[in-house]
Amino acid sequence: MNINILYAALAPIVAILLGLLYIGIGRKIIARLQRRYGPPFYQQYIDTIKLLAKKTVSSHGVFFSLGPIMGLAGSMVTLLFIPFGSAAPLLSFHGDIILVMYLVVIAPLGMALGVGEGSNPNGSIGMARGLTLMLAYEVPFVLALFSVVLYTHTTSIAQIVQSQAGEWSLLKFHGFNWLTFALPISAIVADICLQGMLGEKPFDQVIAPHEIASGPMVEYGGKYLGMMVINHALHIYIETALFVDIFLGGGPVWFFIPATFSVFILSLIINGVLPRFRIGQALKFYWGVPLILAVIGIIYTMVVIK
Amino acid sequence: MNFTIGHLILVIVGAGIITAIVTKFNRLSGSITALLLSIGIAFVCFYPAFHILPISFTTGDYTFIFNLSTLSRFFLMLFSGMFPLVIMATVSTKPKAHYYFFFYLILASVIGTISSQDLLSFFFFFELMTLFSYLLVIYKKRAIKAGLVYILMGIIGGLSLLLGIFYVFWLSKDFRISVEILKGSYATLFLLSLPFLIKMAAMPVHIWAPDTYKESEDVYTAFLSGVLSKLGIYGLIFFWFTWGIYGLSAWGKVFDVPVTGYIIAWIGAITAFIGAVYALLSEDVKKLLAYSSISQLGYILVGFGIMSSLGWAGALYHTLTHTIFKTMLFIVVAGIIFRLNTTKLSEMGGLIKKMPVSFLTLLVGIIALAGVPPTMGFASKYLIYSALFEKKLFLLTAVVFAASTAAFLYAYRLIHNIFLGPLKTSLKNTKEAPLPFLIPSLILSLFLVMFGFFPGVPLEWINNILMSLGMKSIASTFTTISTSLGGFNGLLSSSIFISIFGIIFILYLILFPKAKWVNDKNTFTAGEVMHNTDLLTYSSHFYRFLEREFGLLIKLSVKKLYDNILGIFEWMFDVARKLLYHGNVNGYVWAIILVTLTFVISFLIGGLR
Repeated sequence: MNINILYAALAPIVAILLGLLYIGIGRKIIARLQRRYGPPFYQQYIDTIKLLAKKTVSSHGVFFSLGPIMGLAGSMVTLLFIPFGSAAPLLSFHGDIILVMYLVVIAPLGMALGVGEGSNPNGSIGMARGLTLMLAYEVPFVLALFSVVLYTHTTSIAQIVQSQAGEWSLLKFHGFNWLTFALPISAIVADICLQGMLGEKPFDQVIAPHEIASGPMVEYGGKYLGMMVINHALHIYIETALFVDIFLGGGPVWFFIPATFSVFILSLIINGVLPRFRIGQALKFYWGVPLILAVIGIIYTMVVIK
Repeated sequence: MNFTIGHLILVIVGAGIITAIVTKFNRLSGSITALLLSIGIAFVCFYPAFHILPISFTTGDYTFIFNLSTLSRFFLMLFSGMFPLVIMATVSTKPKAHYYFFFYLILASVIGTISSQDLLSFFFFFELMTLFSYLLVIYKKRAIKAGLVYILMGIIGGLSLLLGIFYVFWLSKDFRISVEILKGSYATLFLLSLPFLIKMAAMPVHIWAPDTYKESEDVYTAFLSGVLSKLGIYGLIFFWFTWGIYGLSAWGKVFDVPVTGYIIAWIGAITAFIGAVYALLSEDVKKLLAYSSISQLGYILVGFGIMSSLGWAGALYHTLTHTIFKTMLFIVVAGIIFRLNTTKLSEMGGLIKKMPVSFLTLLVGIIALAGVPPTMGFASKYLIYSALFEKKLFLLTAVVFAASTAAFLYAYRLIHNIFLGPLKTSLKNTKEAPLPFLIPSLILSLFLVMFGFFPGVPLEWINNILMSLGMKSIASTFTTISTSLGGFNGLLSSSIFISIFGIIFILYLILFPKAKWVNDKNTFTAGEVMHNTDLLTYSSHFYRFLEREFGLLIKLSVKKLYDNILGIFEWMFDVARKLLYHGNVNGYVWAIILVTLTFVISFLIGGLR
């Protein structure tokens, strides 16, 4: 129990370091896709430290400053309820997947308050788009989770991870217990939704640098921007860890970290080759094929468990 | 101290008369009298040493029975607890004498409704409540047209209730509520549910709600939408429970849910979703809240329709949550309208620095509305989702989840368009809303946060109700709720969030230099110099891209459907009129001969028998 509390205290730091590392390596990979040399993999650490070291801070108001803080706090509390693979369940026995689904939105909503007080229309448009995108991907995603709950008879993430635990040896492949193999259609749907959650192309309407000048980030600079970058890193960790825990069985540390990384890289490679949807098209996309697939996935699950 | 429900109702009516008389002489002292008396009434209803006794009296061979069941005690607390808070908000608007009089009469008739255990007195008090609330709806001249629709729907509901009651009497020769014969009668079930679906503004019969909520007096809207609409769920539980969940199951089951309940759940889900879509597209702050109210009551119907103990717990929990946050949101908005004299969202903006307390309370309100953890909104959402997961109703889950995500959208729009963005130049001299609006909203937001930390406290009352209705209770402690699938710890998740927030905030205070404050003009505009910050307001048609996507849905309107049905009837009668009154004398003669012949023939046939 005490060790678990220690883990819980360490988890946010580990998540920040991992998230920043993923972004850094991701930049390199995208550069190679576009036939550039690209920055070194530790560039993101340097950038973040530089941003946090900036001296001038300009603010539009109290909630402008509190917004990023609320966002960071929201992200950190969320990641405490997502187990770190099967290595550390953290606090996930005290709250289940429905709680996590709602804790996840604290960060964007907190940020939205700050962005709103920034009184820049670009930021407001970005937030409006972000919430619409959320409306788009949450529906198929919750149906994918529904099939998981149907299959495992529990909403607790820790128990979902446990239900996929298998022997770890060279002879036996751990993956046979993964829910990806038990529920392939739902896993595909969840991965499609992950693309929107991470805000990678074709679903980067929220940031859209060419249209709305980086949207929510438009008024933030210096230390605030540094906090937002950290929040983005945490966000990447949260979404990928959720996917790995549920569909790839969590696993010990040496599996969990590469797994989250490869889930991120998959969505990044898709990001590297696609253009951007209009926000309306994104909604239409998510409420079309992925939704139908999710329903088929649930029917498949119902057939399987019978 | 012991007294009966009759005494309570008489005292409330008396308080109304006293307030009206005082208000006739002096508006302000009338308001204060109203406030003090309402606090007294709430105290009487809440104080545990006061026992409210049942009462019954017989006229002829019929007995009227008034008794407070566990269910009605819950609603009594809700109504009498909200009443003084809403009355407090009226103090600065200084309404006329009859306003308070009708307000007290509404409370009296509501208490009559929830305590009556026989059908006739239930009908009597329910209709009285509709009548008085109509009289308050038309308190403002602008609401007369909307009030007409309100009373019309009220009359339709009342007639349906009366028909249902007569049908029950015809079947059982008794006006008692606990009758066995009801089992298997679709007609009574429909007739006795319709008035409450109207009261809750479920989707096909919601047409009264948006306009009535928009046009009625601002503070009264809080009571109408936050409190009175809950009589709908009370009535549904009151009547449906008579059939019993097992009796209802006799008609067959879908996904382990009684068919009738399944239909109600779908009505609720569709109401929740379409209401949310309309809310996020509306350009008027009260209309937004009105559609949000319609949408939120849809969740209650979903929980109710699932007909499991989790579902009913979710429905009752959401009843409590929605009562608190919607009353509060309407009161806050009433305060803002009181200062700005406009309800248009596009005429507001940037008020955060002018109205900080209103902003904070509205913030807590929308967090509860969105169902996000540090508030009690999450617990009710949690129970409803668990009920849906437990019964494996995946399509309903999808629709309800879409609705609750759409709630984020209109909640953000509400707070953004009023408080965030650049300050409108026309609002430069706005002051904070007066204290009578702020105090009740602060009290209510305190409850929202407190029950967010201790979600098990309201659940304890709800468990009592469930047990009195013969259902399983939900496993819970003060801080946790657990179901067969999972559970959550409200205190842990909320306090961790607050403490992490506190740590980061302290770090921010230590590490960050003092911020340089910049004004609205100092924003990134791609090099363009902005002199008029009003042009930077992103407010009207906030979700225009969604208007494009939901175009078909917006075009579909129930009002148009009713108009079309009316058109069909008009056409039919027109055809009939043209057939009968064609202006040809020969035709009339033939018609007379035909009718006479029919009579003669039928007489002859009858005679032969």
